[in-house]
Amino acid sequence: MSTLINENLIDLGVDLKTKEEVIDHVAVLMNKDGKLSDKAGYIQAVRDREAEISTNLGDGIGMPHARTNYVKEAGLVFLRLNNPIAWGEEAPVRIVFGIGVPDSAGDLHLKILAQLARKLIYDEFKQKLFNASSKEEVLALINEATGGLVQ
Amino acid sequence: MKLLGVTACAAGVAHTFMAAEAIANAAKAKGIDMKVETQGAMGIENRITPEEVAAADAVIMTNDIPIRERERFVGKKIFNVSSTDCIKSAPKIIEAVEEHCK
Repeated sequence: MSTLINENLIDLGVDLKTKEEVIDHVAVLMNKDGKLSDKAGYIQAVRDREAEISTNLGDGIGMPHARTNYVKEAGLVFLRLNNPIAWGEEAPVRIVFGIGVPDSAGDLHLKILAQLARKLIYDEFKQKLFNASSKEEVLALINEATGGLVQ
Repeated sequence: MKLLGVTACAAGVAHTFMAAEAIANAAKAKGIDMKVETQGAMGIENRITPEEVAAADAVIMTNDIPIRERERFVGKKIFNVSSTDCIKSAPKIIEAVEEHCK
């Protein structure tokens, strides 16, 4: 059983216009769910990481993330935007995986994220994420992708 | 042909594993035997053995951050690519390496 992601960390149908707004929204959801020790610190860490190399994976998916002690407990946010937004030079982003991991993250959380990352290179899985119609469906897809480690 | 891969990235959380999966998958699609070691936040996984190094034709490495224990691959043909290139153009990378090793 993992608390990495739950329905509070999923938002389908959000109106956001910029990458910065997306990162802020990820931080708001994580903070509400008690994942962060310092929201502003987490936002800065994600922005810094993003400035190094864009986390736009192409194919409409962005994965802003940070491994920092401003995160108390590992969290995974899933957002689907109403309108795709510009994100660096790659294709516009419509699906966002926001990740926060503390420096001392346990292996279970890292393992889940690693498995999810591996699945994200497959078109079939991505398509299912684009088409998911409910939070339950998103959770089920992520659970399936990570070998049942999430729920 | 036998290929090896080693992937790593700044946070060691996502790109390391996407790059590993993408490159291994691209090799598999072409019927090429490839083992990929990941150096992520959980440390070195799927570690490459000295025997595997000896038998390999080439090694594809990500260059986002320094690869640990890189000295294991001294004397091998090494191709440096970014993890994002691996994720976005793995089939092209495999083709280029294959061409180079002919």
